[in-house]
Amino acid sequence: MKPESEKYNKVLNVLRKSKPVLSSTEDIEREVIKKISEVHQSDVVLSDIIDFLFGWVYIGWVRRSLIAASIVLVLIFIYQQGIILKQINSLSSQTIIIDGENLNTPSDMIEKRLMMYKIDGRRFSSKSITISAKQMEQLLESVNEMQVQYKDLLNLIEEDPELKKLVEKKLIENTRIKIKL
Amino acid sequence: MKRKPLKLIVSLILMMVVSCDEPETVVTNYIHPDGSVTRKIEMKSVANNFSLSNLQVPFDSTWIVRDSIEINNEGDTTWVRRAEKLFVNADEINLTYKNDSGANRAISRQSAFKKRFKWFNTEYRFSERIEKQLEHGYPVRDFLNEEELLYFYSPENMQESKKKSQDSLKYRAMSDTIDSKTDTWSCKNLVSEWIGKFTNLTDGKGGKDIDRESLKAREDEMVKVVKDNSDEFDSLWANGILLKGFIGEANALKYKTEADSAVNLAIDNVFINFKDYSVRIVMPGKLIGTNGFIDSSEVLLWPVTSDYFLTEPYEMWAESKTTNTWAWIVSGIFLLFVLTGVVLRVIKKG
Amino acid sequence: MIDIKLIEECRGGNLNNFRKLVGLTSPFAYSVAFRMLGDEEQAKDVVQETLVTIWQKLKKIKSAEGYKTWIYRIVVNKCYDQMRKRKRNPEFVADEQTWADISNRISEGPSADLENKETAQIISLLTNRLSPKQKAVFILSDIEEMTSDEISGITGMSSTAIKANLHYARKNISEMVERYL
Repeated sequence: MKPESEKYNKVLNVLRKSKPVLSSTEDIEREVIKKISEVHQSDVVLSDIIDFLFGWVYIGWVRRSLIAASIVLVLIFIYQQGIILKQINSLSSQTIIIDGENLNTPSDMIEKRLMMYKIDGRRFSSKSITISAKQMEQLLESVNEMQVQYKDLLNLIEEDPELKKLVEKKLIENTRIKIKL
Repeated sequence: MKRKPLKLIVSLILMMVVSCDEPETVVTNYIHPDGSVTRKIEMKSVANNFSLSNLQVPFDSTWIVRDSIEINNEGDTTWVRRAEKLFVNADEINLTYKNDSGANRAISRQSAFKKRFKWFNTEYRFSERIEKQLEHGYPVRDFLNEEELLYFYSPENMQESKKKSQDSLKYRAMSDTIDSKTDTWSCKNLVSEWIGKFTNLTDGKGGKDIDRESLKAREDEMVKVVKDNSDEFDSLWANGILLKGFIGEANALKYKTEADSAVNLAIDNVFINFKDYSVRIVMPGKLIGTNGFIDSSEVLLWPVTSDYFLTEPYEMWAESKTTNTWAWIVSGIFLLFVLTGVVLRVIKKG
Repeated sequence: MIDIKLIEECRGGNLNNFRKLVGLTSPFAYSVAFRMLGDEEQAKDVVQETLVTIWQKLKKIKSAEGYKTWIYRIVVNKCYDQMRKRKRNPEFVADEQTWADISNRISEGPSADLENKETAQIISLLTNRLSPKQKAVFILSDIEEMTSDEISGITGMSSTAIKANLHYARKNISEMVERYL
């Protein structure tokens, strides 16, 4: 570091000695107090508003009641949402998604109607109805299937005389048991 | 031996034919937050036959009705009738049920709507309930296990898809088991109902032999007889053979009228003339509970068939909720307000 | 010397005592501000703003020693703000006559009792090419005769940075002094 020259030091000395003189502190005091009062005024207004809104925090029972009410509100919220979440979760595990729009008559409806007819067939009055060609085809198909299976069963029994005897014997026994109470 | 199958086949054909006359009906209830319901009915039939006596659910000239025809690739024609109406509340729907003159007028049906304000959420519940038919019936859950019950209450297309799935053998076997068990159930209901009606009609006049307790004690025997003789039931009953076997010859002669009346009542109740349909419900907001099925369009679905309300009331219900945004905002502001106050106090104290 | 007791009383909102504090604070605050800015009115504004800030944040003061450092810090920062605004104005270049007058005054030595205007002129001319930070470091160190630690507390600079800035400032000013005075 280069040593400062004599001139430089001289200049510094002069500047150090020549302290800036404040003409009057009263002006500054006055201005400062004025500004403080203005700020204080707005601070007071703000403070008033805050006191108005939040004055209750200094009243013990009000503060405690409001805090208790807040806690209760939060607990209610957690409880309600918890229940709803639980319900939604159990719903997703419980319900089953199905496709298709059409819901047909359950197939066992036919069997029920059949039983009804067997037990009290006289109740049905004859009506004129229409069914589609498709339904007739389905009906005939199932009847054919039933006939074929029954025929096969009959042939099996006919081919084996001992089996035939046994079946006939059982049928007679069953008839006797059914009516006997 | 050869006459039996023929009789069976003829009966089957007749039964199929007779059961084909009602349209395939789906009722969709669109529930609104204020409790009003837009009800839409879609009926599909192979014939243009939407006469009142065939209709499963009531509707009249106050509904907006639109008819159309659909023809599929195989050339089959389907007549479609769509009807729509806005009901102010569930009570209005109940009024239509009360004044129903359609196919299912004998059945007691009721809708109900509930709305509960729970501050953060509003919960809605809508239900349609069909009252049970039998006074002395047995619940089907006494005959079927849980898995079987689920299958039993499923819509038919769901049952069919299960039978074609990877577990097809299991579901086919289950289906047969359920058929057999529900057969027994129907018989038991019939006998139980007959016992109930008969003992009501005889009013204890017949003594201990034919009071409810003694008849109930022999119920299982009677059920077996009815099941085993279902083919000849009509003639065996008409000849009095069955009745004599049930209550003895003397009582059978004395109380034949009551027994006949009781059997007619029992048959009427067990084999009710009900035309099946389906119910759908669309709830406001987010679904939170139901006992129904959800289909691909996220609509709730229930099949309605007589078996479901034979011995117990059948209730189709759904619950949903909507968020009360304003309540959340108000609560948030309140909490923030209290928190700010507490924090300010802590700061000032510090 | 500023008594911590006086500061405590001002904290309680006592405006009269604050008036006293203003009277005690203004001179040294003005000295730095004037030397930094070279303008009486601007320096007074800075002092006023500083004192208003002090009133608002009296709670931060923990000791009388801390008070002085804090005042200087606020004054220097507010001077930086003023300088930033001022930077938009064109550079002031002195003519030969001005330098000659200055040279004559300097040559009178420490007895030359410079007026505020003259002090301002000299400092402005000599520090014309310095950045606000370099200027601040120069004034605090070489004119206000503060230690490196004190300057660090006021400006927030590290001692290394202070040394570097000071070296540059001295070099620059020396050159100006050698050239013009």
